[in-house]
Amino acid sequence: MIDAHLHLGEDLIFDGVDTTEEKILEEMDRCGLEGAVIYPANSNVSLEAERERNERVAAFCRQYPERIYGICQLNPNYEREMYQAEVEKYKEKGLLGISVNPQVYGWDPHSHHGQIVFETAARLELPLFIAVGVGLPLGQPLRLYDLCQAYPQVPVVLVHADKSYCGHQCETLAGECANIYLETSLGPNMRLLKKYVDRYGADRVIMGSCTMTQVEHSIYMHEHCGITQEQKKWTMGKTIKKVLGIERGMEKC
Amino acid sequence: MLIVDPHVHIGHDTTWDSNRTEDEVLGKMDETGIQAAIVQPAQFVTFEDYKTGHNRIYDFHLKHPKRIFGMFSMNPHFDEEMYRKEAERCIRKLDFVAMKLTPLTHIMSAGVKRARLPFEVARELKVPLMIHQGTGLPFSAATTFYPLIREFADVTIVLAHSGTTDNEMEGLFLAKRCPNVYLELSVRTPNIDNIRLFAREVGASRMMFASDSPDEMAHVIWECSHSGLNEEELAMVLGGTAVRAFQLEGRI
Repeated sequence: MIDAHLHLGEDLIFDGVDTTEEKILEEMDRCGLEGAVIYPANSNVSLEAERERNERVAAFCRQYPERIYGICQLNPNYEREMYQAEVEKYKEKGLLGISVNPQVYGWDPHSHHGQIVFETAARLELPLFIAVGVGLPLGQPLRLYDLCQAYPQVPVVLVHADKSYCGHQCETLAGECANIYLETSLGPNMRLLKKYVDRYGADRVIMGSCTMTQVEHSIYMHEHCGITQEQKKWTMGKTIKKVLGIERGMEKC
Repeated sequence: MLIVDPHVHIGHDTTWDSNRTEDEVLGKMDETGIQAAIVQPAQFVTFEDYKTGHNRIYDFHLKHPKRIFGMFSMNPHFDEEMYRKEAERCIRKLDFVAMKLTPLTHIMSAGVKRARLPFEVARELKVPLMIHQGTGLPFSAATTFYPLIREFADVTIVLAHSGTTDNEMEGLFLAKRCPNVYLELSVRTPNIDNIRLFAREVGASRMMFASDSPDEMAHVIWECSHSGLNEEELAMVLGGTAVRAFQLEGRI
Protein backbone atom coordinates (compact mmCIF):
# COMPACT_ATOMS: atom_id res chain seq x y z
CA MET A 1 0.00 0.00 0.00
CA ILE A 2 1.45 3.32 -1.14
CA ASP A 3 0.34 6.87 -0.47
CA ALA A 4 1.13 8.73 -3.66
CA HIS A 5 1.09 12.25 -2.25
CA LEU A 6 2.76 13.54 0.92
CA HIS A 7 4.92 16.64 1.35
CA LEU A 8 8.22 17.02 3.22
CA GLY A 9 9.57 20.18 4.80
CA GLU A 10 8.36 23.62 5.71
CA ASP A 11 5.60 24.91 3.45
CA LEU A 12 5.88 28.60 2.63
CA ILE A 13 2.41 28.85 1.12
CA PHE A 14 0.21 27.11 3.67
CA ASP A 15 0.66 28.16 7.28
CA GLY A 16 1.64 25.65 9.90
CA VAL A 17 2.69 22.83 7.56
CA ASP A 18 6.17 21.59 8.39
CA THR A 19 6.47 17.85 7.99
CA THR A 20 9.57 15.92 8.96
CA GLU A 21 10.94 12.58 7.80
CA GLU A 22 10.24 11.10 11.22
CA LYS A 23 6.61 12.19 11.19
CA ILE A 24 6.09 10.70 7.74
CA LEU A 25 7.63 7.38 8.68
CA GLU A 26 5.69 7.29 11.92
CA GLU A 27 2.38 7.87 10.13
CA MET A 28 3.26 5.33 7.44
CA ASP A 29 3.93 2.72 10.10
CA ARG A 30 0.80 3.59 12.04
CA CYS A 31 -1.39 3.32 8.93
CA GLY A 32 0.33 0.30 7.42
CA LEU A 33 1.76 2.10 4.38
CA GLU A 34 4.59 0.25 2.71
CA GLY A 35 5.58 3.20 0.58
CA ALA A 36 4.99 6.89 -0.02
CA VAL A 37 5.61 9.34 -2.81
CA ILE A 38 7.11 12.49 -1.36
CA TYR A 39 6.73 15.96 -2.81
CA PRO A 40 8.82 18.85 -1.53
CA ALA A 41 6.88 21.34 0.57
CA ASN A 42 5.55 24.28 -1.43
CA SER A 43 7.90 27.18 -1.89
CA ASN A 44 7.96 29.87 -4.53
CA VAL A 45 10.25 32.47 -3.01
CA SER A 46 13.58 31.49 -4.49
CA LEU A 47 15.49 28.86 -6.37
CA GLU A 48 17.49 28.25 -3.19
CA ALA A 49 14.36 27.46 -1.21
CA GLU A 50 13.24 25.01 -3.88
CA ARG A 51 16.63 23.38 -4.09
CA GLU A 52 16.78 22.95 -0.36
CA ARG A 53 13.41 21.18 -0.38
CA ASN A 54 14.15 19.01 -3.41
CA GLU A 55 17.53 18.00 -1.96
CA ARG A 56 15.85 17.01 1.26
CA VAL A 57 13.40 14.79 -0.60
CA ALA A 58 16.26 13.19 -2.55
CA ALA A 59 18.16 12.51 0.68
CA PHE A 60 15.07 10.93 2.24
CA CYS A 61 14.74 8.64 -0.80
CA ARG A 62 18.38 7.60 -0.54
CA GLN A 63 17.90 6.80 3.13
CA TYR A 64 14.84 4.60 2.57
CA PRO A 65 15.05 3.37 -1.05
CA GLU A 66 12.54 0.60 -0.46
CA ARG A 67 9.84 2.83 0.97
CA ILE A 68 10.28 6.44 -0.13
CA TYR A 69 9.90 7.60 -3.72
CA GLY A 70 10.46 11.26 -4.44
CA ILE A 71 9.42 13.75 -7.06
CA CYS A 72 10.78 17.24 -7.63
CA GLN A 73 8.95 20.53 -7.80
CA LEU A 74 10.34 23.68 -9.40
CA ASN A 75 8.86 26.91 -10.55
CA PRO A 76 7.60 26.04 -14.04
CA ASN A 77 7.89 29.67 -15.08
CA TYR A 78 11.70 29.43 -15.26
CA GLU A 79 12.99 29.53 -18.79
CA ARG A 80 13.59 26.29 -20.66
CA GLU A 81 17.31 25.70 -20.08
CA MET A 82 17.20 26.42 -16.40
CA TYR A 83 14.05 24.41 -15.75
CA GLN A 84 15.30 21.41 -17.69
CA ALA A 85 18.73 21.52 -16.05
CA GLU A 86 17.23 21.61 -12.59
CA VAL A 87 14.83 18.74 -13.28
CA GLU A 88 17.57 16.69 -14.89
CA LYS A 89 19.74 17.18 -11.83
CA TYR A 90 17.03 15.77 -9.62
CA LYS A 91 16.39 12.87 -11.96
CA GLU A 92 20.06 11.98 -11.61
CA LYS A 93 19.62 12.16 -7.85
CA GLY A 94 16.88 9.56 -8.06
CA LEU A 95 13.69 11.59 -8.14
CA LEU A 96 11.07 9.92 -10.28
CA GLY A 97 8.64 12.61 -11.41
CA ILE A 98 7.85 16.31 -11.69
CA SER A 99 5.23 18.10 -9.63
CA VAL A 100 3.59 21.21 -11.05
CA ASN A 101 1.16 23.39 -9.18
CA PRO A 102 -0.68 26.17 -11.05
CA GLN A 103 -1.69 27.82 -7.81
CA VAL A 104 1.69 27.94 -6.15
CA TYR A 105 3.43 29.31 -9.24
CA GLY A 106 0.67 31.01 -11.24
CA TRP A 107 1.44 28.52 -14.01
CA ASP A 108 -0.72 28.65 -17.12
CA PRO A 109 -0.54 25.46 -19.21
CA HIS A 110 -1.61 27.53 -22.22
CA SER A 111 1.52 29.68 -22.00
CA HIS A 112 4.87 28.60 -23.43
CA HIS A 113 5.76 27.49 -19.91
CA GLY A 114 3.17 24.76 -20.33
CA GLN A 115 5.12 23.56 -23.32
CA ILE A 116 8.39 23.68 -21.38
CA VAL A 117 7.07 21.44 -18.63
CA PHE A 118 5.73 18.79 -21.00
CA GLU A 119 8.83 18.93 -23.21
CA THR A 120 11.00 18.40 -20.15
CA ALA A 121 8.94 15.46 -18.96
CA ALA A 122 9.04 13.88 -22.42
CA ARG A 123 12.77 14.37 -22.86
CA LEU A 124 13.64 13.03 -19.42
CA GLU A 125 10.94 10.32 -19.51
CA LEU A 126 9.39 11.45 -16.25
CA PRO A 127 5.70 11.49 -15.28
CA LEU A 128 4.01 14.77 -14.42
CA PHE A 129 1.98 15.29 -11.25
CA ILE A 130 -0.19 18.33 -11.89
CA ALA A 131 -2.46 19.79 -9.22
CA VAL A 132 -5.92 20.56 -10.59
CA GLY A 133 -8.85 22.49 -9.18
CA VAL A 134 -6.48 24.92 -7.44
CA GLY A 135 -5.40 28.30 -8.73
CA LEU A 136 -8.53 28.62 -10.87
CA PRO A 137 -8.93 29.23 -13.70
CA LEU A 138 -5.32 28.22 -14.46
CA GLY A 139 -5.84 24.95 -12.60
CA GLN A 140 -8.78 23.80 -14.67
CA PRO A 141 -8.00 20.28 -15.89
CA LEU A 142 -9.16 20.98 -19.43
CA ARG A 143 -6.42 23.58 -19.83
CA LEU A 144 -4.10 20.56 -20.02
CA TYR A 145 -5.98 18.93 -22.89
CA ASP A 146 -3.84 20.06 -25.84
CA LEU A 147 -0.59 19.25 -24.07
CA CYS A 148 -1.81 15.81 -22.97
CA GLN A 149 -2.78 15.09 -26.58
CA ALA A 150 0.51 16.41 -27.91
CA TYR A 151 2.59 14.35 -25.49
CA PRO A 152 0.80 10.99 -25.26
CA GLN A 153 3.99 9.34 -24.03
CA VAL A 154 4.04 11.46 -20.85
CA PRO A 155 1.99 10.02 -17.99
CA VAL A 156 0.03 12.89 -16.42
CA VAL A 157 -1.33 12.42 -12.91
CA LEU A 158 -4.18 14.82 -12.13
CA VAL A 159 -3.60 15.55 -8.46
CA HIS A 160 -6.76 16.25 -6.38
CA ALA A 161 -8.92 14.97 -9.25
CA ASP A 162 -12.22 16.67 -8.35
CA LYS A 163 -11.08 19.59 -6.24
CA SER A 164 -13.28 22.65 -6.73
CA TYR A 165 -15.80 20.36 -8.36
CA CYS A 166 -13.78 19.87 -11.52
CA GLY A 167 -14.32 16.10 -11.57
CA HIS A 168 -16.24 16.34 -14.83
CA GLN A 169 -13.22 17.97 -16.49
CA CYS A 170 -10.95 15.27 -15.06
CA GLU A 171 -13.30 12.66 -16.52
CA THR A 172 -13.32 14.35 -19.89
CA LEU A 173 -9.55 14.35 -19.96
CA ALA A 174 -9.31 10.75 -18.75
CA GLY A 175 -11.79 9.69 -21.42
CA GLU A 176 -9.90 11.45 -24.20
CA CYS A 177 -6.30 10.87 -23.16
CA ALA A 178 -4.96 7.43 -22.25
CA ASN A 179 -1.96 9.04 -20.49
CA ILE A 180 -4.15 10.58 -17.75
CA TYR A 181 -4.22 9.18 -14.19
CA LEU A 182 -6.57 10.32 -11.44
CA GLU A 183 -5.08 10.96 -8.00
CA THR A 184 -7.71 11.21 -5.28
CA SER A 185 -6.27 13.36 -2.46
CA LEU A 186 -8.67 16.05 -1.21
CA GLY A 187 -10.75 15.47 -4.32
CA PRO A 188 -13.51 13.01 -5.11
CA ASN A 189 -15.99 11.64 -2.62
CA MET A 190 -16.38 7.87 -2.39
CA ARG A 191 -19.07 7.66 -5.07
CA LEU A 192 -16.94 9.53 -7.58
CA LEU A 193 -13.88 7.52 -6.61
CA LYS A 194 -15.74 4.30 -7.43
CA LYS A 195 -17.02 5.84 -10.65
CA TYR A 196 -13.46 6.68 -11.69
CA VAL A 197 -12.45 3.06 -11.12
CA ASP A 198 -15.51 1.63 -12.87
CA ARG A 199 -15.23 3.95 -15.84
CA TYR A 200 -11.47 4.33 -16.40
CA GLY A 201 -10.05 1.28 -14.63
CA ALA A 202 -8.25 0.84 -11.32
CA ASP A 203 -4.95 1.01 -13.17
CA ARG A 204 -5.62 4.72 -13.77
CA VAL A 205 -6.66 5.67 -10.24
CA ILE A 206 -4.18 6.52 -7.49
CA MET A 207 -4.57 6.93 -3.74
CA GLY A 208 -2.94 10.01 -2.24
CA SER A 209 -3.42 12.20 0.82
CA CYS A 210 -1.48 15.49 0.44
CA THR A 211 -1.54 16.16 4.18
CA MET A 212 -0.52 13.89 7.03
CA THR A 213 -3.89 14.29 8.67
CA GLN A 214 -5.63 12.69 5.69
CA VAL A 215 -3.63 9.47 5.36
CA GLU A 216 -5.94 7.27 7.40
CA HIS A 217 -8.93 8.89 5.72
CA SER A 218 -7.62 8.18 2.22
CA ILE A 219 -7.09 4.54 3.11
CA TYR A 220 -10.60 4.36 4.55
CA MET A 221 -12.12 5.81 1.39
CA HIS A 222 -10.38 3.40 -0.96
CA GLU A 223 -11.11 0.47 1.35
CA HIS A 224 -14.82 1.29 1.62
CA CYS A 225 -15.85 2.86 -1.68
CA GLY A 226 -17.14 -0.43 -3.05
CA ILE A 227 -14.35 -1.49 -5.40
CA THR A 228 -13.02 -5.06 -5.50
CA GLN A 229 -9.95 -6.31 -3.67
CA GLU A 230 -8.09 -6.57 -6.95
CA GLN A 231 -9.03 -3.00 -7.86
CA LYS A 232 -7.84 -1.80 -4.43
CA LYS A 233 -4.46 -3.39 -5.04
CA TRP A 234 -4.14 -1.13 -8.05
CA THR A 235 -5.52 2.12 -6.67
CA MET A 236 -3.62 1.72 -3.41
CA GLY A 237 -0.25 0.80 -4.85
CA LYS A 238 0.19 -0.85 -8.21
CA THR A 239 -0.96 2.09 -10.34
CA ILE A 240 1.50 4.55 -8.84
CA LYS A 241 4.28 1.98 -9.18
CA LYS A 242 3.38 1.65 -12.84
CA VAL A 243 3.44 5.42 -13.32
CA LEU A 244 6.79 5.80 -11.56
CA GLY A 245 8.25 2.83 -13.43
CA ILE A 246 9.08 0.87 -10.31
CA GLU A 247 7.01 -2.23 -11.01
CA ARG A 248 9.77 -4.49 -9.80
CA GLY A 249 8.93 -5.65 -6.33
CA MET A 250 5.29 -5.00 -7.02
CA GLU A 251 4.38 -8.39 -5.65
CA LYS A 252 5.16 -6.93 -2.21
CA CYS A 253 2.02 -4.83 -2.54
CA MET B 1 -23.97 7.29 21.62
CA LEU B 2 -27.13 8.55 19.91
CA ILE B 3 -26.68 8.93 16.15
CA VAL B 4 -29.23 10.85 14.13
CA ASP B 5 -29.03 11.30 10.37
CA PRO B 6 -31.02 14.39 9.36
CA HIS B 7 -30.43 14.09 5.61
CA VAL B 8 -31.57 10.99 3.73
CA HIS B 9 -33.57 10.70 0.50
CA ILE B 10 -35.90 8.01 -0.81
CA GLY B 11 -37.44 7.60 -4.25
CA HIS B 12 -36.26 7.70 -7.82
CA ASP B 13 -34.12 10.78 -8.23
CA THR B 14 -34.42 12.45 -11.63
CA THR B 15 -31.22 14.48 -11.23
CA TRP B 16 -28.85 11.88 -9.84
CA ASP B 17 -30.52 8.80 -11.29
CA SER B 18 -30.52 7.03 -7.93
CA ASN B 19 -33.39 5.10 -6.38
CA ARG B 20 -33.13 4.72 -2.61
CA THR B 21 -35.64 2.48 -0.89
CA GLU B 22 -36.95 2.28 2.66
CA ASP B 23 -35.31 -1.13 3.13
CA GLU B 24 -31.95 0.20 1.99
CA VAL B 25 -32.14 3.16 4.36
CA LEU B 26 -33.20 1.07 7.36
CA GLY B 27 -30.67 -1.65 6.57
CA LYS B 28 -27.78 0.80 6.53
CA MET B 29 -29.07 2.58 9.63
CA ASP B 30 -29.02 -0.72 11.49
CA GLU B 31 -25.60 -1.61 10.13
CA THR B 32 -24.06 1.70 11.16
CA GLY B 33 -25.88 2.24 14.46
CA ILE B 34 -28.01 5.19 13.37
CA GLN B 35 -31.06 5.32 15.60
CA ALA B 36 -33.11 7.90 13.72
CA ALA B 37 -33.21 9.63 10.35
CA ILE B 38 -35.01 12.54 8.76
CA VAL B 39 -36.07 11.49 5.29
CA GLN B 40 -36.86 13.80 2.38
CA PRO B 41 -38.04 13.11 -1.16
CA ALA B 42 -35.55 12.54 -3.97
CA GLN B 43 -35.27 15.24 -6.64
CA PHE B 44 -38.52 15.22 -8.61
CA VAL B 45 -40.03 17.28 -11.39
CA THR B 46 -43.79 17.59 -10.90
CA PHE B 47 -45.98 18.65 -7.99
CA GLU B 48 -47.67 15.24 -8.01
CA ASP B 49 -44.32 13.47 -7.76
CA TYR B 50 -43.35 15.52 -4.71
CA LYS B 51 -46.74 14.91 -3.09
CA THR B 52 -46.50 11.18 -3.70
CA GLY B 53 -42.98 11.30 -2.27
CA HIS B 54 -44.23 13.01 0.87
CA ASN B 55 -46.96 10.40 1.29
CA ARG B 56 -44.43 7.63 0.89
CA ILE B 57 -42.24 9.17 3.61
CA TYR B 58 -45.30 9.45 5.87
CA ASP B 59 -46.00 5.73 5.42
CA PHE B 60 -42.36 5.04 6.28
CA HIS B 61 -42.72 7.18 9.41
CA LEU B 62 -45.92 5.38 10.47
CA LYS B 63 -44.11 2.05 10.29
CA HIS B 64 -41.17 3.38 12.34
CA PRO B 65 -42.56 6.34 14.32
CA LYS B 66 -39.55 6.65 16.62
CA ARG B 67 -36.90 6.23 13.95
CA ILE B 68 -38.10 7.86 10.76
CA PHE B 69 -39.20 11.50 10.46
CA GLY B 70 -40.17 13.47 7.39
CA MET B 71 -38.77 16.57 5.68
CA PHE B 72 -40.85 18.52 3.17
CA SER B 73 -39.17 19.38 -0.13
CA MET B 74 -40.76 21.04 -3.15
CA ASN B 75 -39.90 23.48 -5.88
CA PRO B 76 -40.88 26.96 -4.59
CA HIS B 77 -41.46 28.07 -8.17
CA PHE B 78 -44.68 26.03 -8.19
CA ASP B 79 -47.92 27.91 -7.58
CA GLU B 80 -47.49 29.70 -4.24
CA GLU B 81 -50.76 28.56 -2.77
CA MET B 82 -50.06 24.97 -3.74
CA TYR B 83 -46.60 25.17 -2.15
CA ARG B 84 -47.95 26.64 1.07
CA LYS B 85 -50.77 24.09 1.35
CA GLU B 86 -48.50 21.12 0.74
CA ALA B 87 -45.98 22.40 3.29
CA GLU B 88 -48.75 22.89 5.84
CA ARG B 89 -50.15 19.41 5.14
CA CYS B 90 -46.71 17.84 5.61
CA ILE B 91 -45.86 19.67 8.84
CA ARG B 92 -49.27 19.78 10.51
CA LYS B 93 -50.92 16.57 9.29
CA LEU B 94 -48.05 14.26 8.37
CA ASP B 95 -45.96 15.33 11.35
CA PHE B 96 -42.89 16.28 9.26
CA VAL B 97 -40.19 18.10 11.19
CA ALA B 98 -38.48 20.36 8.64
CA MET B 99 -38.40 21.84 5.14
CA LYS B 100 -35.82 21.66 2.39
CA LEU B 101 -34.75 24.10 -0.28
CA THR B 102 -32.49 22.76 -3.02
CA PRO B 103 -31.26 25.65 -5.19
CA LEU B 104 -29.76 23.12 -7.62
CA THR B 105 -32.94 21.25 -8.55
CA HIS B 106 -35.46 23.88 -7.52
CA ILE B 107 -33.51 26.27 -9.77
CA MET B 108 -33.69 28.87 -7.04
CA SER B 109 -31.50 31.93 -7.01
CA ALA B 110 -31.41 33.60 -3.61
CA GLY B 111 -31.76 36.89 -5.46
CA VAL B 112 -35.30 36.34 -6.79
CA LYS B 113 -38.47 37.28 -4.92
CA ARG B 114 -39.73 33.69 -4.81
CA ALA B 115 -36.69 32.65 -2.73
CA ARG B 116 -38.45 34.28 0.22
CA LEU B 117 -41.27 31.74 0.11
CA PRO B 118 -39.54 28.79 1.84
CA PHE B 119 -38.22 31.17 4.52
CA GLU B 120 -41.67 32.65 5.13
CA VAL B 121 -43.34 29.23 5.31
CA ALA B 122 -40.64 27.84 7.64
CA ARG B 123 -41.21 30.83 9.91
CA GLU B 124 -44.99 30.37 9.90
CA LEU B 125 -44.81 26.64 10.56
CA LYS B 126 -41.94 27.05 13.06
CA VAL B 127 -39.70 24.39 11.51
CA PRO B 128 -36.04 24.44 10.43
CA LEU B 129 -35.17 25.04 6.79
CA MET B 130 -32.38 22.93 5.32
CA ILE B 131 -30.67 24.55 2.30
CA HIS B 132 -28.61 22.49 -0.11
CA GLN B 133 -25.13 23.92 -0.74
CA GLY B 134 -22.37 23.35 -3.25
CA THR B 135 -23.39 21.58 -6.43
CA GLY B 136 -25.45 23.86 -8.60
CA LEU B 137 -23.23 26.94 -8.38
CA PRO B 138 -23.77 29.84 -8.36
CA PHE B 139 -27.32 29.41 -6.98
CA SER B 140 -26.07 26.99 -4.33
CA ALA B 141 -23.32 29.25 -2.98
CA ALA B 142 -23.88 29.74 0.73
CA THR B 143 -23.29 33.47 0.98
CA THR B 144 -25.88 34.27 -1.69
CA PHE B 145 -28.40 33.45 1.06
CA TYR B 146 -26.74 35.73 3.63
CA PRO B 147 -29.32 38.56 3.42
CA LEU B 148 -32.27 36.15 3.74
CA ILE B 149 -30.69 34.21 6.56
CA ARG B 150 -30.08 37.44 8.47
CA GLU B 151 -33.60 38.72 7.80
CA PHE B 152 -35.14 35.43 8.98
CA ALA B 153 -32.97 35.24 12.09
CA ASP B 154 -35.73 33.38 13.97
CA VAL B 155 -35.70 30.50 11.45
CA THR B 156 -33.26 27.67 12.08
CA ILE B 157 -31.15 27.20 8.95
CA VAL B 158 -29.24 23.99 8.27
CA LEU B 159 -26.61 24.34 5.54
CA ALA B 160 -26.51 20.91 3.91
CA HIS B 161 -22.95 19.87 3.03
CA SER B 162 -21.65 22.99 4.85
CA GLY B 163 -20.95 24.69 1.55
CA THR B 164 -18.98 21.74 0.08
CA THR B 165 -17.06 21.81 -3.20
CA ASP B 166 -14.32 23.84 -1.57
CA ASN B 167 -16.83 26.51 -0.62
CA GLU B 168 -16.85 25.42 3.00
CA MET B 169 -15.39 28.75 4.02
CA GLU B 170 -18.65 30.34 2.84
CA GLY B 171 -20.64 28.03 5.10
CA LEU B 172 -18.34 28.81 7.99
CA PHE B 173 -18.61 32.54 7.27
CA LEU B 174 -22.39 32.35 7.63
CA ALA B 175 -22.28 30.14 10.70
CA LYS B 176 -19.93 32.53 12.49
CA ARG B 177 -22.14 35.52 11.81
CA CYS B 178 -25.62 34.02 12.10
CA PRO B 179 -26.47 32.09 15.28
CA ASN B 180 -29.44 30.49 13.52
CA VAL B 181 -27.12 28.64 11.10
CA TYR B 182 -26.06 25.01 11.56
CA LEU B 183 -23.39 23.21 9.53
CA GLU B 184 -24.36 19.78 8.22
CA LEU B 185 -21.53 17.45 7.26
CA SER B 186 -22.78 15.15 4.49
CA VAL B 187 -20.98 14.70 1.17
CA ARG B 188 -18.44 17.47 1.59
CA THR B 189 -15.08 17.77 -0.05
CA PRO B 190 -13.46 14.92 1.88
CA ASN B 191 -11.36 16.87 4.35
CA ILE B 192 -11.50 15.98 8.02
CA ASP B 193 -9.37 18.97 8.96
CA ASN B 194 -12.33 21.21 8.23
CA ILE B 195 -14.48 19.32 10.75
CA ARG B 196 -11.93 20.27 13.38
CA LEU B 197 -11.90 23.82 12.04
CA PHE B 198 -15.69 24.10 12.27
CA ALA B 199 -15.62 22.82 15.84
CA ARG B 200 -13.00 25.36 16.79
CA GLU B 201 -14.73 28.26 15.07
CA VAL B 202 -18.43 27.69 15.78
CA GLY B 203 -18.54 24.76 18.21
CA ALA B 204 -19.93 21.24 17.96
CA SER B 205 -23.35 22.41 19.11
CA ARG B 206 -23.77 24.01 15.66
CA MET B 207 -22.54 21.02 13.66
CA MET B 208 -24.43 17.91 12.71
CA PHE B 209 -23.51 14.62 11.12
CA ALA B 210 -25.58 13.61 8.05
CA SER B 211 -25.10 11.22 5.15
CA ASP B 212 -27.34 12.27 2.22
CA SER B 213 -27.18 8.63 1.11
CA PRO B 214 -27.07 5.16 2.71
CA ASP B 215 -23.75 4.67 0.92
CA GLU B 216 -22.22 7.52 2.89
CA MET B 217 -23.56 6.77 6.37
CA ALA B 218 -20.56 4.76 7.57
CA HIS B 219 -18.11 7.12 5.89
CA VAL B 220 -19.34 10.32 7.51
CA ILE B 221 -19.56 8.64 10.92
CA TRP B 222 -15.95 7.61 10.38
CA GLU B 223 -14.96 11.14 9.40
CA CYS B 224 -16.61 12.62 12.50
CA SER B 225 -15.08 9.98 14.76
CA HIS B 226 -11.58 10.46 13.37
CA SER B 227 -11.45 14.23 13.17
CA GLY B 228 -10.11 14.82 16.66
CA LEU B 229 -13.36 15.86 18.34
CA ASN B 230 -13.58 15.00 22.03
CA GLU B 231 -16.33 12.67 23.31
CA GLU B 232 -18.66 15.48 24.23
CA GLU B 233 -18.22 17.20 20.87
CA LEU B 234 -18.68 13.94 19.02
CA ALA B 235 -21.93 13.24 20.86
CA MET B 236 -23.22 16.63 19.82
CA VAL B 237 -22.17 16.24 16.21
CA LEU B 238 -23.47 12.70 15.79
CA GLY B 239 -26.87 13.30 17.36
CA GLY B 240 -27.26 15.96 20.00
CA THR B 241 -27.24 18.95 17.69
CA ALA B 242 -29.80 17.44 15.30
CA VAL B 243 -32.12 16.45 18.15
CA ARG B 244 -32.11 20.03 19.38
CA ALA B 245 -32.28 21.76 16.00
CA PHE B 246 -35.11 19.57 14.69
CA GLN B 247 -36.95 19.48 18.04
CA LEU B 248 -36.80 15.70 18.34
CA GLU B 249 -36.49 15.59 22.14
CA GLY B 250 -38.55 12.69 23.50
CA ARG B 251 -39.51 11.45 20.06
CA ILE B 252 -36.68 9.00 19.35
